Amino acid sequence: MASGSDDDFTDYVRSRWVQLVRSARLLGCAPSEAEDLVQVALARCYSSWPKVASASSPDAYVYRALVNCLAKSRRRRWWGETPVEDLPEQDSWTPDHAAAASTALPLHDALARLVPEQRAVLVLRFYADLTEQQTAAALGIAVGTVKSRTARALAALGRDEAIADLHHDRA
Amino acid sequence: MLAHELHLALQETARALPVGPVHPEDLLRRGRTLRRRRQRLRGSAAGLALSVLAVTGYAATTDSTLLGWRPTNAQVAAPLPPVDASPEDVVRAYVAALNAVDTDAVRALSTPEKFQRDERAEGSWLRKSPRITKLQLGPTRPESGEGTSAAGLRFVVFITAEFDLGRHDAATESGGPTVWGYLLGRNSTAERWLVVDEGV
Repeated sequence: MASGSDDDFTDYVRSRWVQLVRSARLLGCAPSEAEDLVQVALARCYSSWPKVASASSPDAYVYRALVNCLAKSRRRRWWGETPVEDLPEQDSWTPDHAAAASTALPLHDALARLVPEQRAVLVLRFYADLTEQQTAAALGIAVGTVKSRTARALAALGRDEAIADLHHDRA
Repeated sequence: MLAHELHLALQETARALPVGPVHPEDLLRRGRTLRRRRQRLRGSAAGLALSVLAVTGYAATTDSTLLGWRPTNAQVAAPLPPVDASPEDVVRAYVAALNAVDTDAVRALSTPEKFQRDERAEGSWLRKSPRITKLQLGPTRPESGEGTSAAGLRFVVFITAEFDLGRHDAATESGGPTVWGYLLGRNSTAERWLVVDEGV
């Protein structure tokens, strides 16, 4: 039988599922990996749901779980993998998404070229819309570090010629 | 790139990423299983804590070491194995160094590339020390190292391992029995085996 806490959790999952999975994708997950990773993170949060729900920012807690699950999965997927110069083919883009993908892909790739710490800061700050304090809590770092990483990451994206058109289009 | 430009571009990027439907009932089932496992772990930990308290009390009242062990709050430096130690001994020393939060020993037993990589990595065990117990090593087998971080090293071996991983953060690791592997390498028989990489 579902308890009130279960109802709260279910409501939270329904409202955040899409954003969490897309955040996982932007953080560097493969399509097949992102949904599973979010499920693992949410299941962990469920086991401490009263604590999560009463936290000052449940989102920060959930994103912390997600980032940690991602770090753990990266630590485990080392065997046989070596860094490569060229990124592998991206997942297939459905026709419905083709128009958005024409501008979206370069930024997705540009994010992938950042170091993971910088990518995480940008995704949490500018996609998940966490504040600097929430981002710091989610990543387990100081607010000052969030600021400096954000500045360096934005500068790195600004130097990325592959998305130069994106700047001009929006200028 | 400006922050507001990135915000807009990221929203646009994300909209292009397909997302499957959510099944909250599956998540609830998974979460309940995890919660039960954590409750069992807490029960075991409480029992262990009581045992430690009893032993500590005994050692304090008798003012002697018990079975060669004396309770202390200080970090214990992990001893380095000799240069000619086997790969298995190097792995045991490496795990002991991680458990002891002895960064110098971890550095001495890792290749510089691995150590630097772990220092930078957000979820690295260098930053969040694990509690690895019941370490059991499987057979050691030679590897070519090609296509791995050990590429270029003359001698490379792989060792499988199983251990219990203690949980250190409710949001981080569930812990429990873990199957793992260590890749070690060196360029001559006069050198110590070093951990090149690890994982599943």
